Amino acid sequence: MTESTVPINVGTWLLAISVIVLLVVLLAVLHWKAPQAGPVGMFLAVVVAVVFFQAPWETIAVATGKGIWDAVFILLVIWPSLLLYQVGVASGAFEGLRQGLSRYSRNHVFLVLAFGWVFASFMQGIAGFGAPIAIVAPLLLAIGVRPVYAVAIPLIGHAWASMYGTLGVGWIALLQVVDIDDELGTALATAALLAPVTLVSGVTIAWMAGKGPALRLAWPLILIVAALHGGIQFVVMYWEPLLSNFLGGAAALAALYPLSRWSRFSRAADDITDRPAMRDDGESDAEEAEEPAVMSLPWALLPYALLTAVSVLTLTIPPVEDLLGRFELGFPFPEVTTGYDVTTEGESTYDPIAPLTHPGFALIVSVVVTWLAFRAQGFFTAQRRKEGEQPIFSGLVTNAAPASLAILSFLVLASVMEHSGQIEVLAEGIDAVLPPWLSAFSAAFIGILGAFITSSSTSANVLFGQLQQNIATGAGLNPTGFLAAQGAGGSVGNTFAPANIVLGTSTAGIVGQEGRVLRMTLPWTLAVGVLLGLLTLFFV
Amino acid sequence: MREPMWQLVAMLLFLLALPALSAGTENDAPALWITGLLAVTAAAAVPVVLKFAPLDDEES
Repeated sequence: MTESTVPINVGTWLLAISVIVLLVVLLAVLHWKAPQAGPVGMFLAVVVAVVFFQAPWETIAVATGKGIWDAVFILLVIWPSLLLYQVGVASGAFEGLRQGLSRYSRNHVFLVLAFGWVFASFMQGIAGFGAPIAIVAPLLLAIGVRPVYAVAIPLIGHAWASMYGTLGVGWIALLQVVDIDDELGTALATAALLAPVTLVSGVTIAWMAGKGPALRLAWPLILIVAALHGGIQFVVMYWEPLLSNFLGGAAALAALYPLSRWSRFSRAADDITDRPAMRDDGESDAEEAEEPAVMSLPWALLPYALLTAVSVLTLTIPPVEDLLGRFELGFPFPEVTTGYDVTTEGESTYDPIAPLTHPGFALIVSVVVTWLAFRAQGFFTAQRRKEGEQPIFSGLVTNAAPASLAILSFLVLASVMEHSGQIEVLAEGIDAVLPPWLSAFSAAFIGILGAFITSSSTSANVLFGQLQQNIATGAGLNPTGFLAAQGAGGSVGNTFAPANIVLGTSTAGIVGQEGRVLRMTLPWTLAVGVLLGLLTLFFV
Repeated sequence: MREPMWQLVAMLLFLLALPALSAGTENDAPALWITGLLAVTAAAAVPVVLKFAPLDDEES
């Protein structure tokens, strides 16, 4: 293959970063909605690619097609997630969930941590691809969390789990693109970097629920859960990295039951009055004059139990997974290049999707069974009498269409940047000007950048995995630390990736407020990036 | 037509462009992939146009 001749200089670097700067400005400064900012960023990426990076239109066509296909993968999660949400609203499931849980534990700090951190991490372990955010945001709304926090909390809560979540897909992707000499060492180093991230997530979410007093209340839970998340993920690396995150998440989920029996976490935290994440009309108002919900807690939890069961059945039992994974769909794309010889190989089936092992399949099964069961129980009719008509399908389109447009444009943007060499310029430009120790420090930020652009730690690893190894080798440093930082940074970068934010704002019913979520998660991501950067220095 | 319906149409345009882009580039049929690119351009323009020229029946 011809070596790329794309010039790495200040001019090309500024042009490549301009797309990302534009996105951040439109979303966070000018408060544009993601479905509006995404296409503008996409158009700029195309203009920069064609005019300055000598990308032929055929290359743009291939990049666009691949970007749309990448987005289809996510849309297969978002549409059933939103349908599940609409079914929940129309049947009164969220009200049943809120009332049921408030009888089970009246402690808002415990509930916010249980859903926003522990359950979101568990869902990332089995489903991933944004499903934890789309599913957990409405659950947090149901227990009285403010909408913007309901999106930000699962984004922060699940971030540590992205690398080894979805049964290790991010790790598999890294192994595909990089010839790693020390696989176990790299896996362990990545797990070691991710362990403090889950601890910071728990601390942050507790702080959001009630600042210092909430931290003083929740510290035993935070330490236990973080130890289970980080410790089990680390230890299981010796045996099977692909199961490490799932087992850590499942253990933490199981630990919630005995913790909830502890009076510390079962009684209301009335002494915590400063609650940034909670709505002012919290539990107390709702309790006084409310009618009983149309369904009990076990019925309200049915879709999530089904989702877990179907995911575990289809993804953790190898013969079942092999059988269901045989049926794949995909589109062919030819090899394309640019005037600077940035060549992308052709593929007879680009990134095939196996529909029956895709997380969307588990969601669709859950929605269909839930809808049939709720209908048979008369929950829709009862809720209609109580709250009036709540149409499922128009609600679905209202939320899903703008979210889909945003995701499609973000993924096309990322693909165009990759095929035209803009991403290569961004990463190599950073490497070219930094001394070795600063390269090591910034390795996590390259991972974060990849996740921001693609909204996927897996894609971030594909984009930058080989580059990180090259930077380490060129600087005469141990690649283990760079690859671990790439994996951990790519995982953390999901927290402020626009497409992930849109997943949450759509199911939380606040499409258009992506900038507010971004302003909340961006400082957290950068702070954790600095922490990862410093820790990376120990591994190189 | 309400804004969500326009957005749904735009989303479908994006998705319909995919087979045209794949088949057009794979089989060296420029007319097909150019059609695909035009469909994507039109689809991506919809939310931007709606921002600056909102529909009368929509709240801002």
